[in-house]
Formats: sequence, C-alpha cells, structure tokens
Amino acid sequence: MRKIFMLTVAFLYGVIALGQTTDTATVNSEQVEIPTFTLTESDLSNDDEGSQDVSGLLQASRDIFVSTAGYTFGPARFRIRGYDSQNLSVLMNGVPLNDMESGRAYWSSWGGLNDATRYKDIKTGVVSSEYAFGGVGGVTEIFTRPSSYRKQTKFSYSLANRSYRNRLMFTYSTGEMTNGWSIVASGSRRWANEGYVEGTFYDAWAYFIGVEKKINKVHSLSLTVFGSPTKRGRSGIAVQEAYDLSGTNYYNPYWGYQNGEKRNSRVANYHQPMITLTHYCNISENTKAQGSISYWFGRGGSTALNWVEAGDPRPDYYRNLPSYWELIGNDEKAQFYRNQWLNNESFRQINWDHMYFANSKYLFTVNDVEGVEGNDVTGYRSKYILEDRRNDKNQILANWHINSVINDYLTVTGGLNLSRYKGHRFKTINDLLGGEYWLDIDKYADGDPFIFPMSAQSDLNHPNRIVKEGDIFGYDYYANINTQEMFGEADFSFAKIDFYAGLQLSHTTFWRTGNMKNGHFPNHSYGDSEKNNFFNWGLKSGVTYKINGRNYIVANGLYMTRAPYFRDSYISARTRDFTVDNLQSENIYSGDISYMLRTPAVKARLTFYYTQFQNQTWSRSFYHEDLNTFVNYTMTGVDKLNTGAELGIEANITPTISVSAVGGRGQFIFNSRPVATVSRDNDAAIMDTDRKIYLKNYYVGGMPQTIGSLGIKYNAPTYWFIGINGNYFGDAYLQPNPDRRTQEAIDGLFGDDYRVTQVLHQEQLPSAMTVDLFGGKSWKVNHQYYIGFTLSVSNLLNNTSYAMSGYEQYRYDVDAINKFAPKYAYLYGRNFFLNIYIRM
Amino acid sequence: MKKLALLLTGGILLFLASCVKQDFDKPPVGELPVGDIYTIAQLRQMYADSGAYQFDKDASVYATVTMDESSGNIYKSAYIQDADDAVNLHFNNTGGLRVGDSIRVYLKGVILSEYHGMFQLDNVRNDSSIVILATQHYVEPLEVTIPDLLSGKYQAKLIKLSNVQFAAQDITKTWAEEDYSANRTLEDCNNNQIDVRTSSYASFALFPLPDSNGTFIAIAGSYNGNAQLYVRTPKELDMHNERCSGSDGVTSFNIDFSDQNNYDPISIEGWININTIGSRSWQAKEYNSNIYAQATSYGSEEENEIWLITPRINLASMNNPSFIFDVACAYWKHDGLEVLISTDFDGANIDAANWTALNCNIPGQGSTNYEFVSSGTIDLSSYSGVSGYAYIAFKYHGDANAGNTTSYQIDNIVLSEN
Repeated sequence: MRKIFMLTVAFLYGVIALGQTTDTATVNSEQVEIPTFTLTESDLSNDDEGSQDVSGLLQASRDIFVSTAGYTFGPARFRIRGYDSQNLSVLMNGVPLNDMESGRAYWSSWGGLNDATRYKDIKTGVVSSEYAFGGVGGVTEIFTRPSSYRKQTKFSYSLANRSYRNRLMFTYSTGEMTNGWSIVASGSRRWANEGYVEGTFYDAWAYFIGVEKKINKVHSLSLTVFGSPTKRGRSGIAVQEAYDLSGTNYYNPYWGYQNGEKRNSRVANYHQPMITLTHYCNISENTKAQGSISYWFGRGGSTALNWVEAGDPRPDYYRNLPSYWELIGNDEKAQFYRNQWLNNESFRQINWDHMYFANSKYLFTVNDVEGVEGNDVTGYRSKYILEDRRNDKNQILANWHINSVINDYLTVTGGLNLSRYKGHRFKTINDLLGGEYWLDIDKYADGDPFIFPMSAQSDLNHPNRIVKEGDIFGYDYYANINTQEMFGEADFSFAKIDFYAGLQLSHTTFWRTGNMKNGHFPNHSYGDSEKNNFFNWGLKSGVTYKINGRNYIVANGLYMTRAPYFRDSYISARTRDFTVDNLQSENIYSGDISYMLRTPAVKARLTFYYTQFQNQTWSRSFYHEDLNTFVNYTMTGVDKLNTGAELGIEANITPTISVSAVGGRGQFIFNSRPVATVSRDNDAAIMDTDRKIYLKNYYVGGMPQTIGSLGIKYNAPTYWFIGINGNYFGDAYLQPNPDRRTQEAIDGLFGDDYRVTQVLHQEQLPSAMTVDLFGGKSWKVNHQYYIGFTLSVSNLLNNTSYAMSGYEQYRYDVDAINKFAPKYAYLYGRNFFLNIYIRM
Repeated sequence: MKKLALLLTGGILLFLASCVKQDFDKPPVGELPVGDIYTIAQLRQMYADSGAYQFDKDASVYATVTMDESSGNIYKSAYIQDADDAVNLHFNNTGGLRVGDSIRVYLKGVILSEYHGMFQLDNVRNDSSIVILATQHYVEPLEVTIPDLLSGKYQAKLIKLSNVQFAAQDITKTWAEEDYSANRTLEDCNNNQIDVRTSSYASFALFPLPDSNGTFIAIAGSYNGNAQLYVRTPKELDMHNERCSGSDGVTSFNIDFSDQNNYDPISIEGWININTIGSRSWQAKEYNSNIYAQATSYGSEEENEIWLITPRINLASMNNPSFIFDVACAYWKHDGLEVLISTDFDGANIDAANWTALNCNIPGQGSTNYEFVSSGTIDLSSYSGVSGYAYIAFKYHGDANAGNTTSYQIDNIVLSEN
C-alpha cells in the first residue's frame, strides 16, 4: 500500500511540475435531439439485477458505427466488439460510475435525466483519454459541470410504447451568471400502466440539481445531486412452447391477476442517488486539476415470489407445460395443460388469488421460536410470499485528476481514484400475501417431522425465526470492496504522427461480512471473511499516422490485468464466505487497427480488432430440483477471444441527403477449457472440483455477432428531417450451459449416439431484418422559443419473430434435452418514440 | 410569462395524470364449504362397495395428521386418522401438513382409489382441499403386534410395537440405500417379521438402523397385500434394550424361572406362553424358594391346551445341540404333557407348523407328586439339517370336565452344546 502511495505522489508531482501552456476545452458532443433510452432489460443472466447497461449512452456518439450500435443494434443486445459493459468505463465529471461488485455501468442509475446527461465524450475501444485509463471497451465521460450548461429552459413530453409510455422532462439551467453562480436543475417523470410487454408497469421519477460557484479565476466549487427513483414491473423470457401456446413471443410469466387486476411479481425498485462535491482548479492557463468527493448510496432490488410447502407457483414452470406430460407419456394431462394454456389466460399467468387463499388456510405451529424452548407460536403461515431481494449501495469515492498541456507536442494527464464500497445484500418480506408470518428456514434443507434441524436455519443467532413484512430474512451480508487506483497518460502530437501511452496501477481488497450465521456453514458465514487482495496494472498505447489531412491510420494496443469481481469470486456468497479456489486476476490484451477517411462529403472508418480475455472467473447459481437446492457453478480459467471488423461510412450525397452504411462482423468465442467447481447451497460438501469444461470454440452467446445497417436521411433546409434505416442482425447464438460440455454430461453415451450431438450442439439463432424510420421538425417562435418534435419508429414492419438472444437452461436432461428447453428473448415489434419539446 | 404559466399548469396536469397503480387490494378469501360429513370408515366402505369415485359435491372428512412428508420418507402424501380409521392422502404437490394438524379435507374433486392395494384419497390439492383447524393435536399410536399387522389390521394407522428389533441380517445396514428405497426386516422376539420400507429420499435414509430392541412407532402400510411399516422419524423410536433372540435364533439358554413371580403367567423375553384352548397359561409357582412353571386343568372347569415355546433355536450354528430340563407331575389323572419340536414354525402360527414329539423322560402314573426328574439329555442334531432352526414347545393338554387334571411342573430348561 505504502509503495503505491509513494509512487502516486511521485507521479503526480512530476505531472504538475511539467505543467505549461494552452487550454484544453471540454468538447460538447453533438446536440442532436436523439432520445436515449434502453428498450429491453437484460434478463438473460440468471441473476436478479435487472441490469440495464450502457447501450443508451452510446447513441449519442459522433461515430456512425458507435451511434448505430447503440441506437439500432442495442435493442437486439448487440455489444460493440462483444465486450461486456465491464470493459467500458463510464464517468460523470471524472467520477467512475461502474458498479464495484460487477464492474458494469448501470445506465438506469441516471435514467430519465437525458437532458442533464446529454453532454458526453464517448470513445470506444482502447483510447487516449484524459478522464480514465479505461478498459478495452473505451471511456465515456458525462459532463455535468453546472457552468458548462448553456442558459435554457426546456420542457418536453414524450409518448412511446416501449418500457414506458409517457415521459415529462423539465430542465432549467442558468449558464454561468455574472455573480459566478451556475445552476442547473432537471426533473422527469416516466410512467406506463403497461409497457410494450403485458403486465409491465413503469413508475419513475428523476432529479438532477447542480450548483457551481466560481470563487475566483483559479477555483470553482460545485455540488451535484442526482437520483432516479424507479419502480417497474419486469418482463421475463420463456421457452418457445410458452410463446407458442400463449400466442405471443412477448409472453411474460411474471404477472397475474389479483382481484381482476394485473399484478407483476418482479418489481424492480431502485433509488441510488449520488452527491458529488467537486473542486475545479485552474492551476495555470494550461494546467487544470479537479478533485471530487462523492457519496453514492441507496436502495436497489427486485421482488420475486418465494414459497414453501407448496408447488411452484410460476406458470411457466416446466411441469406446468404440456410437453413435460407428453414426455412422461401422460397424454391426458398433456391435453389438459395444453387446453388451459391455450384458452385460459389466468392459467398461464400467476394466480395471486390462489396464493392468498392458500396462505389463509395454513395454520402452523412454530416450536421454539428464536431458539427459546417452549416458545411456540401458532398462526397462519404464508406458503407464498413476495420477497424483496435487495442490493443496497453505500460508496464513498474520492477522485482527483489533472491535465496539463506541456507544449504544442505534449499533453499529460493523470489521476487518482479511491473508493470504499459496501454493498448490502439481503432479503426482506415485501408482502405476506394474506398470511401472518414467514418462517425463516432453508426450505431446501432436509427436515425432521418434529423439529427443524439446525442446518435449516438461516441464522443460528435467531433459530426458528418468525419474520413479517419488512423484516430481513434468508441471507444478509455486506460486500466490502475497497480500491485505490491511479493512472497517467502522455499524449504526443506531431505533424505526421500522434501517439500516446498510458499506465494504470490499482489495488483492490474485498471481503464478505456476514450478518447471519447460516445453519449449513456456522463457521463460515458470520462476521468478516478473509480479505482478498489484488494488485493490478495496465499499459496502453496508440498511434495515429496522418497520411494526409483526409486519410489516417490508427492503431492501439493494451495489456492489463483486472481483479476478479466480487460477484464471481464467492462460491455462494448468500450462505458462506468461501471463495473460488485459485482466485486470480484476469489478463486482457487487445489491439486494433483502423483506417479513417475524413472528407467534407465522406466520413468512414474501417477497424480490425483482436481482444483476448484470459483467466476470467464465471459464476452462476441455479435451482436443481433433483438435489432440492441451489447449485453454484463457478468456472475459472475462462478465456474469450473477440476478433472482427467494423465499418462505418457516412456520406453526404447532396447538401440535404446523406447516406450511411454500417457493418460489423465479429467472432466472439471461448478459447480455453475452463475448470469448474460445483457446490450446493445446502451442503458443505463440494459436488465436484476440477471438472473440465470443453468450451473451446463455442460462441459467446446472447448477442448478434454480425450486424449491418443502411440508411438514408433527408435534412430539409426548413428545419425538418426524415430518415430510414434497413438493418440486419445475424450470427447470434444461445448462451451455452458449460456443464453440457463436460465428459460427465455425456458419460455413458458412445460414438454416434444422437444424444451426444444434442447435448453438445450450440444453437444458432436465425438472422433477421428490420426497418427503422425517424424524423423531426423544429420551429422558432417569436425569435424566442424553439418548438419541435422528433419521432422514431423502430421495427416499422413489425417483425415479431426475431429471437435475438437466449440461453440454455442450466438444468438439463441428457435423455430429453427439450425437457428444459432454451429460453428466448424476442426483439420488440413495431415501437415508437415521439418527443415534443419547447425550449427557451 | 403567461406562456410559461400555461406550460407549467399543463405540466402539473400531466403529472397528475401520471399515477401508476401499484397497490393491490387483498382479494376476498374464499371459504371451503363443509357439505356432507363423512368418516374415513365410510369412505373406505364407499370405495369397497362401488370402486373408484370422484367427489363432485361439497363434502368433508375431519381427521388428524399422523405422518407428514417433512422427513422425505413419503412424498406428496400424508396419513390422517380419525376415531376409527385412517387413510393416506395423495397430494398434487408437496408440503403443507405437519403431524398433529387437525384438519378438514374438502372432498370435492378428491378421488377414492387405491394404491397397490391400499385405500387412498387421491387428487388432494395441498392448497385448496385442506383446512387446518388446529395444530399439535397428536394422535397416540395404537399398541399392536406384528401378527396383527400381518393379518392386515390397522391399515394406515399409527401403531406402536413393543419389544421389537431389526433382524440380525439387517442391523449393519442403513434405513435405505443411497439410490434406492429399501425394505428392512423388523421382528419381535418370536420371530414374527414385518418389512419396514424406507425411501431413499428420507433424510435418515443413510443413518444406520437401530441395532437394539425396543419400541417402534410407524404407520401401518401395505403394498400389494404385503404389510409394511413407514417410519416418521427414527427419533421417536426407543430401541435401546438388549436384543432378544429373534430371527437369528439362540444357541443356548438356561431357564430356571427364578425371575418370575408366584402365580403370574410365565413371561420370558422371546418365549411364547399361549393358550390355544381355554383361558389358562403356564404359570409361575414357588415352592421351597424354588420357582418353576406349572400347567394344569385342575379347577379350571374347562378344556385347556397351553403352549410354552422356546425362542427360535439356531441349530445350524451349534455343535451337538442338546436339550435337557427337569419335569414333575402332581395328582396324576392323565398324560397331559408333550415336548414337541418344529423346524418350520414361523413364530406365530402354531397350527400351521409341523410338530414332532421329542423322546424324553416325563413322569407319569405313580410318580411322586412334585418330585422333579431329569428329562434326560435330548440330542437335537438330527433336526439341524432341515431349516437350521427349530422351536421346542411344552404342550399341556387337560380337560377339567373330563377329569383330566394332572398338573405338570417344569424347571431348569437348558439348551447347550454337548
């Protein structure tokens, strides 16, 4: 630690000492009225994060490939170069916004603040950046410095049929006033009683307030606060059989009728505001420094059904589908289930009323409540509840960075990021659904008919605990992650050649603190775990060769190591503090080379890239019915190779007509044989270690690896425009279940047994085409107001049969591979977004 | 400014229109009507009379849960018992009941049927066929014997057996195997045996079986006509006493009746003292501080046939098995004592076994009252080869009405290797 500190001080001292001439102004990105939003939620991963990543951000990029990737391909889960959002650093005024536990940037944290977060600097790939070292995916800096907003008042209303149907947004900014104060305030409301998918509601507010005071020529102070309290009913994806039976590829198993009204069982409820105090310092004309302290906190989580002593209430549970009954040869039942699915909507949705009914009948005596002998409580025990799986955040960040233009040829930049993070993960009872209490024991633990064994206890400090609405139960732990990171970069610029080199050093410590003493793991669940320490570094460099003023060759390279993420590091953080064996940092090396053309009429870029991720750790949990418990599957040594090419061309054919062409062909594959550890939640014994996964050359699934788009746009001199895009999506694969690619999976099958092929095969999803239409117009009224609208219609031809993504279920049956069929996600059919605004 | 005000007003109105409903009323919870009330015995009779039947009307049966599935030994089912009878409930799903729950089963939709010969209520929906009225009303197990169970009595009832143990060949085993359910043999001290069936899903499946003798509580089941028992939890079994001979058979004993009480029926662990005619049994008598066993019809005013049968003798594992006892008679009126051996007695059905008289010395007419004589050493080796096992019986036959009232006394019964 001390070493790093010394290094940092020495480094920064050097940077400051070098400080000299010229000013670097922040570049405001284009101010085109592109509404940014995320169309679908990523429900592909089995976790309950309801993750929304950063594709919305990319839409504002000036690079035609990047903006098309965000705007057109983002909804189909396309990711630039196949990179997870962990690889893209997102910062707001220099403060990193990537989540500490997963590394991902959750766009929803500042959802609804489109006006306030409009000014961005988006760089993709390995890049030179004055804000952060970045990852292989690039750096996006959102500018929210209050004095950088121009003076305006803006009011907009949007009408859509996507995740929300209405949005109101109001933004007011003063610009820098004569007294040195700058104020910006923005608020929005997004809502829908039902979004595009049935049974989803949307209920969100957002606020942003920024105040800056210029103290003198050198110092300015600003305070910004933003938050986006959002509640929304989520949609889930299902097996094709459920889609076919219900007659729609947007069947949503998460909702059902209660008292005749639609109620969603998966309600995401997030409110994580961030408060940032920033000090801007113009050390000299050419040297600027900026330091901030941020506090980021608040609740997150999503509800889900839980049940005990009762059948699985989820309507698309595999035994509720006709195919299961066919499989076991019960035609009568198969027919019954088929008829119900086809004709009875409430059968294929959640039956809330029934759960209330059942909860009102379940009289139950809990003996020795709280471990007190003879303390017996009798009451109506809930069989079904709605639980809130919380992931609350509590993070303090301190950041400092400096940028100095030394001379015409050299600019240096550097910074320091410190973070203390405490994630709180626990469950609370959201709704007892008419029952009187919930008994906090592990329902999967083997039982004795007369007592609950100690191993079944969620918390041995409170055995046989009775919990009610709002109480914490099940699991309760902190994810502590502390990081110290520094980076520096030097940018050289000459007549023919520009180049840069950057360095990053970081130290990460993480550990688990358990607040419950789990009955299965009494010695490994309560209190602080051992601390895991990782020292990491990265080097990047790039060169731009200017053939002439119009033709450029750009090449970049990077090598870095990255600490494993908390979320992947523990075998089952819910119940115990065991980390994966042989937990190691991953290594990433990446390179790209581009040709760029910049003429007044044509802008084009062609890039080839090659990125190797090595030694990643991968973790998933899933319920295994035969074992009656959650199985935790963790792989180490996962290598992924992402290679491919990107092409983007924009050309102005006439002063009013422009055309664009975008294409991407990637190959995102696994290229190692990882080793898996398999364990279960209710047993300390490890089920298997060193299980070799034959994953080499399988595709990383879940997104199209080939995309293309052709567009034409007419920009009328009279302030209106219209455009149309034709898009192609292809080469998407199901996310593979690693365990199906093991020797154990096909044990006992020989040679040309058809089951071998079935088990090992990775399904390629069919390709698809869509058409998007967009247009808009604005008016200037009385030389005072601007009034305008923009309209975009996606998937104009209403192609509702494009399964853009999907995954193989983690449970599988070699003899009947379709018993646990894959789940698919479909691209939305025709949808639109109309935005009307008035600006003063 | 006016325009701004207009804009704001419009905005506020839109905001007001932006309510998203998320609060849900608690739905009115339905009640399950009671309808006609049946007893389990009536349901059983209905099934016996007219076969499988699905209730299509409101009807209920009241009972108490005697076995639930929380130990995993039974799955998607529970046993319930009312005042007279008991039955298995077969659920559509798992869970929801506990031993001691006093319940009403709403019968509409429920099917009367049988499962491998055992009457059951099928298609019972966990959530919507059951109303729990009270908890922790435990049913006391019925005290029964293995022969009772083998005869098919007490089906589905909670029973209790005393002085039982697992058969010798099973005591090193577990309740079930890891991958499959198993039958283990439970026996009393008279070699009456019954299967104990345990599921491999039971939480105690891989626990060792108790290896001692004691009290056993279980549900009386039946599978294709074979009686079997289902354990609720090994915790409620009290099996800590010394094993009796049971099926493994004894290789020695020396019975001098000194632990018996004057005038009480002879009661020795593993020995059968039973009357097949009349009401008398072999009785303990004390004379001159010596206790012995006596059988007599004197003063009985009835015909008597009384058996005192040894435990199962494991002849196969004995070298030169020999048998000897002391015997006396008093007030001779007739020859009423036989000493018999059987190699096919099953421990319960005396009539079904073949009994052969052993050649021995028994006092008769003219002998001195109460004077014990030795039977002489009886060599049992010739019986070893048949089943390897044998029982020896002292059979007394007398009839007071016919004047056959001789009293016989026996003592010091010894089985040993010569």
